[in-house]
Formats: sequence, C-alpha cells, structure tokens
Amino acid sequence: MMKAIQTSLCVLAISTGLFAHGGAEHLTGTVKALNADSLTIETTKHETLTIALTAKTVAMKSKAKGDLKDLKAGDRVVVHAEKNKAGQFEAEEVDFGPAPAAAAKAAH
Amino acid sequence: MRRWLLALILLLALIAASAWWHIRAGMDTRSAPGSLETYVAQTVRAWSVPSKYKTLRNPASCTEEVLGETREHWADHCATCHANNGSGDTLLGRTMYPRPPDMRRPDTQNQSDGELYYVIKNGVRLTGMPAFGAPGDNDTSSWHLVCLIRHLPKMSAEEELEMRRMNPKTPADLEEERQEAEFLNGASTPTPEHHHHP
Repeated sequence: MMKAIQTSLCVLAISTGLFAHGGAEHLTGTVKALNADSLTIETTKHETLTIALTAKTVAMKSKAKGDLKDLKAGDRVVVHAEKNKAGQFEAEEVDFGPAPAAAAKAAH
Repeated sequence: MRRWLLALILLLALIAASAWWHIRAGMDTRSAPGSLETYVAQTVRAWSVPSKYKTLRNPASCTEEVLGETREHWADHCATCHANNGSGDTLLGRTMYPRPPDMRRPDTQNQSDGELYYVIKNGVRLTGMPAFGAPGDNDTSSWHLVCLIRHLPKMSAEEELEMRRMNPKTPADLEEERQEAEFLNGASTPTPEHHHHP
C-alpha cells in the first residue's frame, strides 16, 4: 500500500514538473531584431539566439494578450520555446512587459 | 473437422507470429501504434462500453459558467496528457502508448455523450487513461467534462491562454515566474536563462 502511494506521489510530482511548461525552455533576453518569421534576442548571458515565430506563437504583454507588433529592439522578453526537429527554437509564447522606460521607472 | 483444425492452427500461428513480432520490435513507446493495432484497440474499446451508455445524453446544461469552471478542472487534471486544447500535444502525450487522441477530431466527437462519460468515469485499460471518481452515472463534474470535450473544437485562443495560467505548477515554477516578471519589469538582476523544464 505504502509503495503504491509513494509511486503515485512520484508520478504526480514528476508529471506536474513536466507539464508546467510542456518541456519548453524559457529564454530571457533583449530583442535585437524582429520580423514576421523570427525573433532575434540577446540573452542575459550575451548570447544571440534566433527563434522562429509560427502561427501558434502567442504574445503576452504584462500577462494579458498582446501583439508581437508592439515589440521593438531593446524590449525585454521571456520566450517559451521548444526546439523543432531541425534543432531550431520555435516560440510558443513571447512574454514582454511595459516599454523599457516605464519598466526602468517601475524598477526604481 | 480437418478444415477447422487447419484454421485453428493457422490462427494460433498468426497470433504467435504477431506476438513474436511485437516482442522483437521492442516495448518502447517512442513509436506510435500502427493503423491495424489502433483499429483493433478502438474497436475492442467501443465494444467494451455497455450499450446503455451509447444512447445516454448529457444531463448537464453546458452553460458558459459551466464551461468556465470546467476549463479550470481540465487545465488542472486533464491537460497534462490531453493538452489544454485537447490535441494531446504535450510532453507526456507525445510519447505515451497509445497517444492520447486529438479530441477535437471526429474519432472522439462522434462518440455519444454516454461513451465519453464512460471513458472518463472508468478509464481505459492498457492506456494512460485512469478512472476518475467513484463509479456511477451521476457525477456532475464528469458530465461537465463531456460539455468541455464538445467545446474543444471551438475553443478560442483566449480560452487556451486562460487555461495556461491554471496548469499545475511546482514551487520552482512559481519562483521562476516571479523572477521572469521582475526581469520584464526592469529588474537589474537577470533571471537564469535557458531554464529547461525536463
């Protein structure tokens, strides 16, 4: 009985962790370039990454539905992305916040 | 008599060959079941549902309020395997054997309300689908899930977004969310990047 309970708890714990982001990586950084098909960011460790944007990519601005058109170079983003079969990141969700000036003011 | 015996031997040989082939092919779950296996499994599963459920209609009213509450239930209990939109395209769903069905498609949508309820209530053996709750035909929350399954093909992007916020999260996920929010709001300390969720 105890073993069954332990196993169930393990499965629950593992599946909760797995699902939380569906295996996606969270890439944090600053927008360097943006076009209809891709977003290029400089990560917080100064690595440049290009992430493909697809029809399924969702934009979220300050936790509400946003529009990728509102993004511009210099904006901070958190991209939830998964690698496709070709090994390229595909964005599932692009989160961004207020404009940099407003964000800087809020941070102080 | 000889014909029957021959037929029986052939059938047993076929079963033995099939079993051998399956064992040699391995027991991993990376490949999806073939079309024959899927057909046989779906047919057997359909036969296994008691006939009274095939004509049972959903007694619940599928109002907007019910759908809203049930989206939360689905996001918390079902989406791990079935995805918020019912596609089954999740980390677990992609390599389960058999794969969770895309519930927006006719294979699921053409089942009766009672058949869907029966599967939710009793699970399906040799799959990842467990039985939920106590046995019986009057479980309102399971009937509400039938409402949501009917709604899946029409689910909006806004509804999916809302459900993302309701998916299960560990304390580490919540902490990461907090750090990301701070980063987006201009905090100087960068959050860990390339944070991979296994």
